[in-house]
Amino acid sequence: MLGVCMIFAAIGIETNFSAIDWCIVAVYLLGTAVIGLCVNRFVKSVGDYIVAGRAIKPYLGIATMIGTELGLVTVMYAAQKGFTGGFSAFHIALVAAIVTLAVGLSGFIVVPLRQMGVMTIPEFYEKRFGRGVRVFGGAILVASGVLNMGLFLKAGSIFVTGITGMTSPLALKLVLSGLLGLVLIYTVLGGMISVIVTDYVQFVVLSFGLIVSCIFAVNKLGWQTIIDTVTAQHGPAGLNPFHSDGFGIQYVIWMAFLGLVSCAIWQTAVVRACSAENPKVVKRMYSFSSVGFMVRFLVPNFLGICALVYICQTPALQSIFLPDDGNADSGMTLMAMPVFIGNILPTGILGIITAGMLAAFMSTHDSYLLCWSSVLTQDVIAPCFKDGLSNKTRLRLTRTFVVLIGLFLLLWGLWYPLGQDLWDYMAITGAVYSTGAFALLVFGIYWKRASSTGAYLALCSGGLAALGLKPIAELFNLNASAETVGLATIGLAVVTMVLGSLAMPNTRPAASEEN
Amino acid sequence: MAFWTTFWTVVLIIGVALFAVLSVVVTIGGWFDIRALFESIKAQHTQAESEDRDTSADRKAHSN
Repeated sequence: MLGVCMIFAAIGIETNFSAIDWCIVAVYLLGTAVIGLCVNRFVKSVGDYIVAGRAIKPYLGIATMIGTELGLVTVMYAAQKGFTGGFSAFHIALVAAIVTLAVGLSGFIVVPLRQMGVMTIPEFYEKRFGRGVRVFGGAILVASGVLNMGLFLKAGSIFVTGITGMTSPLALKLVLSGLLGLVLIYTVLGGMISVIVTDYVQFVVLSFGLIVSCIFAVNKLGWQTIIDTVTAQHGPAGLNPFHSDGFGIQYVIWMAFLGLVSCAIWQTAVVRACSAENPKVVKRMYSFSSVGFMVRFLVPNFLGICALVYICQTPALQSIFLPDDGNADSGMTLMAMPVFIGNILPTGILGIITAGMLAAFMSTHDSYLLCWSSVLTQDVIAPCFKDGLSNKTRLRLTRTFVVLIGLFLLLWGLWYPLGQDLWDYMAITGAVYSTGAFALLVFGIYWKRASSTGAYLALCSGGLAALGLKPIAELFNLNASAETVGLATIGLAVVTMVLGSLAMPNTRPAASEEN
Repeated sequence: MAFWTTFWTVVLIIGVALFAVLSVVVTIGGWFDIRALFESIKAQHTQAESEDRDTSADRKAHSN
C-alpha cells in the first residue's frame, strides 16, 4: 500500500475530488451511522439482533441482499476483472444472474433452509448431522469468512487513494480506521436491524450512483472507442470468455459454482433467506435479486473496462498501469477504476458516489462482521456448553467477537501480500468453506443417506482449496490455477461425502428427521 | 468477434435498464417495508411482554 501511495504521489495524478466532496462524504457517513444507532432501541432479543425478528418483506430483502453484496470491495474486484479481462469478464455477471434466478425459481437449498427455521448454516449441520459437525463446520466457516474479508480494508484504502488523490499513508490509515470504528460501533449496538436499515440507504445511493457513472463514462469515451480499445489491448480473449488466452472454459465453470455459492451457500446471503417472512418471500427475493447479482459484476466490470480505455488514452497513466512487460501490479490494476472515476465525474457527484461507496464499504463490513461473530457465538461456542448460554451472554459474546474480528482485519490487511486478482483471492478463501458446505447442503437436504462421517470428510476436503492462494501455492511449488484447485476441491468434497456416507452410515436418524 | 461485441452490448444495455427499474421499485417498496418491519418488531415485543405478564400472574395465582 505504501508503495502504491508513493508512486501515486510521484506522478502527481490529479482528481476532481474537492473540499465540497469531503463535506458530502462526512455528512453522509455520520448520517448513516446515526441511523444505525437510532434503531438500537428495537433490539431486545438474539432473534432481533441476528435475523431482525424474521420480519423482512420482499423489497427490503432485495435491497439489503444487493446492498450487502454490492459493496465497495465487490465494485473494486469486479472493476479489476473488467480492467484485466475486458468484456469477457461480463460472463461472471451473466452466470451469476442465471444461477441466482434458477435458485429463486426452484428454491434450491434456500427454501428447505428457511422451512427448517435455522438462523445459520451450521445450525442446519446440527439438525442434519449432529452437534460435532456444527461446531467443526462453524469453525471452518468463520475461518474462511474472516480470511475472505481480510483484504477489504486494503481494497478500501486503494479506493480512497485513487479517488481522492490522498497520498499520505498515515492520513489514509486514520480515515480507514475511523470508518472501521464507526462500523464496529453501530454493528455492536444495533445488530441486524441497523444492518438492514443502513444497507437500504446504501443500496439507494450506490445503485443510482453506479448508473450515473456509466452514463458519464460512455459519454466521455464513446462506445465505439471502448470496443476498439478493448479489442486492441486484449485481442479476441477480451470478448470471448471461452478463449484459451483469456479466462477459458474451466474458469467459466468455476464462476458458475461461485454464482451458486454467492447466493445459496454463502452465509451472508443465506441469512437473508433465513430472515425472510416465509418461503414464498425467499423465492421472490432470489428471483428479483438475480438482477442485482448480475449488475454487481456487470456495472463495475464495465467501469473497469472504461478505466482501461481512459488509461490507454493518457500516456502518463499508461506507463504505470500498463507497463511494457505486461505485468501490472495487482494493487495498481485495482486502483485503475477509482482513478478513472476521480477524473471523469464532476465535484459534487463525485462526493455522493464516494460517500455511497464508503457507505457500501461500511455496510459490507457490518453484515460480514455480524455474520461471522454470530456464527462463532451460536455455532462454535454455545454448543460447547451443556446447559446452553443465556440470551444476554450470547449478545455480549457476539459483540466481543465483532470487535476482535475488526482488529484482526486491520492487521491482516496490512500484512498479506495479494499477488493475484482480488476476486481470485476471495473466491479461493471462500472455497475453503463453500466447497465442503456445498456437499453438506446438497446431500444433507436431498439425500437421506448422507452421514456425519461423510460430512466431516467433505468439510476437511474443502480445506484443500487454500492451495489455490498464491503464497501457499508457491510454498508447495504448485503450478495449478485457482480455478483448477477450486474445481478439484468440489469434486473431492462430493466424492468423500458419498463414499464416507456409504461406508459409515448414521446409526441414529438425524434430528431433522425425528422432528 | 462481431457476435461477442453485439452480445455483450445487449447484455450491458438490458442489465443496466433492468437495474434502473429495479432500483426505483425497490427504493419505494423498501421504504414501506422498513416501516412495516418496525411495526412488526414492536408488535412482537408487545406480545412477548403480555405473555410474560400472563405467565407471572399465573405463577402468583398458583402459589396463592
